[in-house]
Amino acid sequence: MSLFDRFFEKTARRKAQTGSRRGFIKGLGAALVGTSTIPLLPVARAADGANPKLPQDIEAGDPASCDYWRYCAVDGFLCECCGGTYNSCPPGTEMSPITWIGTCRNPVDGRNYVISYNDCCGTTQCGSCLCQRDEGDRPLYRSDKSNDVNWCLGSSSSIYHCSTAIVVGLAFEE
Amino acid sequence: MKALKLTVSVCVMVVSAASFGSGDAKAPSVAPKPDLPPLPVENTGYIESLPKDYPESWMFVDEAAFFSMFAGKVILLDVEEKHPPKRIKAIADKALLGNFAEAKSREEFYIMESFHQRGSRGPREDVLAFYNKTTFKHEKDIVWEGRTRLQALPERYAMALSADEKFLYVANFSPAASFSVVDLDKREVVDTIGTPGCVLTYPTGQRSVTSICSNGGLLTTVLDKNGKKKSQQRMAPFFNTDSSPIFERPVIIDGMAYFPGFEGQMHSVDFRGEVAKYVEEWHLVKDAERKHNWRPSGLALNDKDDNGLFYILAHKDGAEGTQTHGGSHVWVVDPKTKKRLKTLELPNWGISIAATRGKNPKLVVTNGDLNLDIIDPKDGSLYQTIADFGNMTPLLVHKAH
Repeated sequence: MSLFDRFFEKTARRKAQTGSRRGFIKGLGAALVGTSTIPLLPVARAADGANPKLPQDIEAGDPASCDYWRYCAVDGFLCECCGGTYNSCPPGTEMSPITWIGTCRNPVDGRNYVISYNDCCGTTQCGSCLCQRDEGDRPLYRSDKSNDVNWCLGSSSSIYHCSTAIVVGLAFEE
Repeated sequence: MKALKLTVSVCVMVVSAASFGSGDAKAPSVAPKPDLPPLPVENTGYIESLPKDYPESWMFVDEAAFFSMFAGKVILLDVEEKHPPKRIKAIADKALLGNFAEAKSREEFYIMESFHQRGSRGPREDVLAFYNKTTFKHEKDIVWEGRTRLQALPERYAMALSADEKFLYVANFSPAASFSVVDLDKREVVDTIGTPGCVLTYPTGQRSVTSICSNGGLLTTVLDKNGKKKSQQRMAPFFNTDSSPIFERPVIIDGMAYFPGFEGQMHSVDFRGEVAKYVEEWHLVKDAERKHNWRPSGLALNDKDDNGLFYILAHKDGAEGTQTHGGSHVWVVDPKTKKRLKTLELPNWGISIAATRGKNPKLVVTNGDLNLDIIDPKDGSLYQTIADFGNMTPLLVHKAH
């Protein structure tokens, strides 16, 4: 049994761990899965408004599960379990406009998408559905790929609450 | 209302004594002896203090409090104390993923932390707090200009002291990277120096600071005698941040830094001179182990002892994404001979490791239950497991001097 299994049993957050042994306690995650992307710096791209749901998401699994396709890089509490969704923040929080980018493959259409892991900030830590998947994670020296940083940098409050995983485009193949 | 509070408080004390003492700590059930003289009236207001020089078995535990970051703290803990109620020596607050550093020659330690005026809202202030080591009393705050200090999972080199302990270096990340120089005699910031693309503060020579860069190289900032920037020099890249990444967590022994790579490479860098110099690459993983993808892994995955050895967590079946997951084993390495002297199998999975001071160190391993396993590195035996010390996520452990 791995440390993560035991840790999550202890903290009763098994729901987000379905199908994955991953899980730790970092602020955020970054990943590079299946392809390379053009290196990107942390970007300001917080989404506004409602986001439509298409078969690529509906048929792709449970967005409250850590192994959901968009979370290939996420590392933190899933907003899906905190009153928000995978691409929206819970009521009362604020989405940080500064973040970093990962690339995840959608299992339904087989495409690689650039995912922006915007934090929701301004309320104490959600504490539910902790999820860590470190593929492509790099230390602080690669801030564009580092999940060790609290990325509530561009918001009025620096208090980390949960993490979203927002599609911001198709990945460029090198 | 007051009386009620007192009653509750007494009840809690009684329960605590029964619960947390040694196994046979039940209240004695003897017949009352009314002929004994009554207890004298005791003084109120007495507060304990600590020795000027801490014993070798005391460690500072950086409790990141990931589930409640307002409540981060540093716990001074005697990891070899067998009697649980006597392990905690003192605690200091460390809010919102604060950073910690301790002076050796000064009787003080430093916590860089952040506060919003009204908890999670209101203006944010970043503050460098000075604490006295014997009293644990807070002595001074320096308020940072802007919201710039590095807020991340605990790092050994998010802050560092110069060799003579005149200056404290504090890493900033906004996400523009820089570091601030604090004059510890004057207790004031003397300079903030941009380190574009480079982070953290590895002390170098007498008056230099080296940072690790996004291009796989290093940047050394040389300071003048007043702590202001004198010059900067970049070292050519020695690793590829995508294909052969390294951990940003070196062990530094007598000025020589040993940076582990994700796949078990080691990079030696000389921090003894004014500017960092790359020395060589060598390998920790043996050929037979490479077939099973043995790799270093963990959060604070390595530490040194006073005998010149270092310890690093490792696991097999490593892959992209497992680099911070920790390990089942500890490799004991002599960096002078570049030999692995020993492999210890841990009693529990480990995610961070530290070594106590002295000729006969103990290893302090944050285990999968987020408790501390105290290990004898001579044979890998478990000395004791420390739990219930106010720990939630004790991610990094420092030596205490």
